Amino acid sequence: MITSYECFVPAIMGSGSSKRIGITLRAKGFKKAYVIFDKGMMDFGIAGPIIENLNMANIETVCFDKVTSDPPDEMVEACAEEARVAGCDVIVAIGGGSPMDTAKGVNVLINNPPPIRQYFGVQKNLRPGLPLVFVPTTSGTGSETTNMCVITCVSQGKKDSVVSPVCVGSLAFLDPDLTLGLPPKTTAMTGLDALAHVVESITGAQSNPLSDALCRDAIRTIVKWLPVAVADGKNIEAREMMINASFFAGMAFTNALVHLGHSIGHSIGAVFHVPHGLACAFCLPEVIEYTARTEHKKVAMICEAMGVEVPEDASWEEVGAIAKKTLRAFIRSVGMPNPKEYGIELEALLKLAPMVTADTGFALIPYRITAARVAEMFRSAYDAC
Amino acid sequence: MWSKLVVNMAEAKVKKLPYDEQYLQLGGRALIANYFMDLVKTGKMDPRCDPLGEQNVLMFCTGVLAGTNFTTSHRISVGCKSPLTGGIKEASSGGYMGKLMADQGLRMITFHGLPSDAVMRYLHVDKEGNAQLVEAEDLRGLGTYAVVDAMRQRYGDAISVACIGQAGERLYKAAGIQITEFGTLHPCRVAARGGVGALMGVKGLKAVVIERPSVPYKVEYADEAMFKEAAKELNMLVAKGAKNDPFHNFGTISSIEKTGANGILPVENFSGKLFKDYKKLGVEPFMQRLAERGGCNKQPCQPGCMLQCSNVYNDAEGKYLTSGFEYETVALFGPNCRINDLDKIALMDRMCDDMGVDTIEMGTACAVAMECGKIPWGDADAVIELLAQVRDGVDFGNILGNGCEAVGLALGAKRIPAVKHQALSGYDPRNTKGTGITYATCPQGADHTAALTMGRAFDDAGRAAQAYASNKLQVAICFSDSMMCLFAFAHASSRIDLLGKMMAGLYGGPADITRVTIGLGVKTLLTERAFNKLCGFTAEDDKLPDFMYTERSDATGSVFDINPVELEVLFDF
Repeated sequence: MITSYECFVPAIMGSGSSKRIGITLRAKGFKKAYVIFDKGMMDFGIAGPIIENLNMANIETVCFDKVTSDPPDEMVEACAEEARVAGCDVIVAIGGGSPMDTAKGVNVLINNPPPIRQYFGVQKNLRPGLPLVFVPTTSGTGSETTNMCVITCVSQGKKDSVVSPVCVGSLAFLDPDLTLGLPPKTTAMTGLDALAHVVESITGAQSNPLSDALCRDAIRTIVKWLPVAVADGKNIEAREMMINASFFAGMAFTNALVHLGHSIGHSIGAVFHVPHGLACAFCLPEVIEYTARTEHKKVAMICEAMGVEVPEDASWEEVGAIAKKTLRAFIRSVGMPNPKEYGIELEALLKLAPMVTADTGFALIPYRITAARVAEMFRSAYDAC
Repeated sequence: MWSKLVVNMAEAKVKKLPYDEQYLQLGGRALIANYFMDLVKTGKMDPRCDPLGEQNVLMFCTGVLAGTNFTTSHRISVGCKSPLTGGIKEASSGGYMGKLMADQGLRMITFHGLPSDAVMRYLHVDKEGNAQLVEAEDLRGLGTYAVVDAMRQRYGDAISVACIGQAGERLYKAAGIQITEFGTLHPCRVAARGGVGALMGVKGLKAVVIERPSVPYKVEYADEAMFKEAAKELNMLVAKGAKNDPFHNFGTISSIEKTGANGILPVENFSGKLFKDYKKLGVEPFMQRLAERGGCNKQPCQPGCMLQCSNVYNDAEGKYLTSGFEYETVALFGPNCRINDLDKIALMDRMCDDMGVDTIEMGTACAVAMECGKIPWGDADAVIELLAQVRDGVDFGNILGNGCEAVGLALGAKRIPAVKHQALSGYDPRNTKGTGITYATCPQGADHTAALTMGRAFDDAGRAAQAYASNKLQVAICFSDSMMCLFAFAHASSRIDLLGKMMAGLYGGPADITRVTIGLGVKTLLTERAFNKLCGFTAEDDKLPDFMYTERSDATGSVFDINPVELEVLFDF
């Protein structure tokens, strides 16, 4: 195998590290930052200190606080228009996946005409934008380290992504302090998003030794520390472990790409408005079981990283079954509901199968399956305990 | 009402009959798959029959949108059980014949049985639509250019001719059927692959000549306004896309600029090396010679084409040499044989067109012959001499005429670039792995028009998304080959919904794209595979030659490392 190691974004990590944002950006010569976040970030007292930190370092700030979840293209385009008028020299995003994806979308549009939907897919020739700085406040999306942004196209009623160097950050501040206030449910859902990133990456067609190593480490970390962070949100060690695991997972899937779990997650998210991490987790055990047919060595790695032994002579079916059981037990252990408990009707869920096979990410699945097979996965996951 | 011609070669009789209702909404590749499967189902053809025996049928048909003003809707498809692969075959060609068939109200011509005598004939359809078989012993042994000249003398210039040269007469498995181009009447468009020319030869059919009718057939529309609105929109889209398309601005030869740079261009019998001199065979020298010698590009092979990818290439004296001078020919006679002389490759193209033989089979076969020491690497004159032997049926020509695999087997070659007995085209599957998946799985055999995935997955030499790209594109090309030219389709693909609308406007029923994507795409692929299975094909036939899995490409270090499961499930819909 010949592969390329993709390592995109430098990061400053550690409890309190976000307090260095002002001096760091000033040292890089920036004078005016366009700061993107959602209103909650201000209400919870996270955005305010960061903006003040920037201002104290003589960096002027222009704020956009109207980010909504699953960033709609119209919002991103409006934000980009304001950014162009503001004339800043750096973009700072504070928050989870939505503000970061918004910032990336804005950066796509800074020097390329709207609408953004025309840039969905892999874009190699976009005009460069501004330096992007990310301050994640959840541990799951990994968006701070990737080269893609996920945008909801309102007119077509679906999510799609722009993959481009224009979406790559210049710097990230990984400060676990900013995640201390996350409620247990959000902690669990975002943590499962990171888990989905790594178990899909390690079984993905572009996985390589670097992404495998990142995945194995992230799986071990998530399995040990996510339950702690869910049970005790103020545990700074658990929070630091999780923000690292999320970053590692982001680096892993930048190399290896995610596949079926995310296609399922996008479809369930779009129709039932289930939070992304949970939507990806619903069928994750079934997805990894399916991958065992071609990727059984990788699935065995997942099991081992989760602390479960796999007999050396196990068939791929056996490896898949062990992984399915182990993953489901873990997902349940952090208090996550199955689709039935979440209130989704089985018939409605089964109808999504063709949407999954039409999802862009379906291109990356390890081997082709039919919509009927996806429906079987839905059936299996529906009331699984 | 559409018609069809049914030609009985044993009795030398032609019948004009109403076109079958069940095939009305089928054309091109989709029609061929269905028609031949129906022959099997009704017991008229044993799927394991000898492709050159009396059960095999030779079919000429138009696309499903023939007769309309939609751009490139007048390609012609030649169908049969392939003399080369032994499986289903649709050989698609441009040229003027599709349009004249439609103007004559003909959707399909089928040739049945074998002649009871040794007389050569041609099928003539006159201005009034009368069709008859005419004795043609005087044309026996002629090359296709001479056949066309003879037909022009007899019937004037308002004709289209499809004919075989010496290759078809000699029943070579690499023989194609040459079809005249619109305007110039050069027989440079080819239903090239799968040995369709051999079947025409064994049927004693030298040519099909169709005259432009005095009163052209008028297509009946279910909703003409609806059709025309959709067609206008798509025509505009294709016209707009064509402006920046290198195939329009230069020709298909422009592909070499990309394939040569990244190791996709086959070099020295698919060795996987780079070819330093690829630019000597690229756009710059090509365009320069066209300009200096009074040649031209931007030629439409059929009326109404907006892509206009054809050309006229003259020799150093400014005398006509060849037309329809394409990438595949340049790649496979060129770098694949370590040859960098464009003029000599153009002469090879002319020789192949004139004797009616597939340049892909010839180019790949000559490279295998070079690797086995039969002729020296890079020796263009030796290739020209071998081609003369093919034409004259002497010495090694009788083997070479049967294509790449035949040459490899005769010379004991270890590296034979073929799938289902059909040679790989001008793309190294280690460096465009989705194309490799297409080569392996396409029911037609390794094919240059079945789905080249270059640039459609993340990394051409990587694994991710390759199977997906091949699957999607194979389906798309299947329906494109049933209705239009795939080069135009490339610019129409963002609005395939309009194809559904055109089907509704033409035939009635819902403006539903699935009648195109599934009806003409997916179902066709599955029918072709089912036909091949009946012919005796198994999963073992859906593989690339061994060396692609074991030998590294020097250009990239890549091998064909796609998981076999991905190939096995590729057509699970």
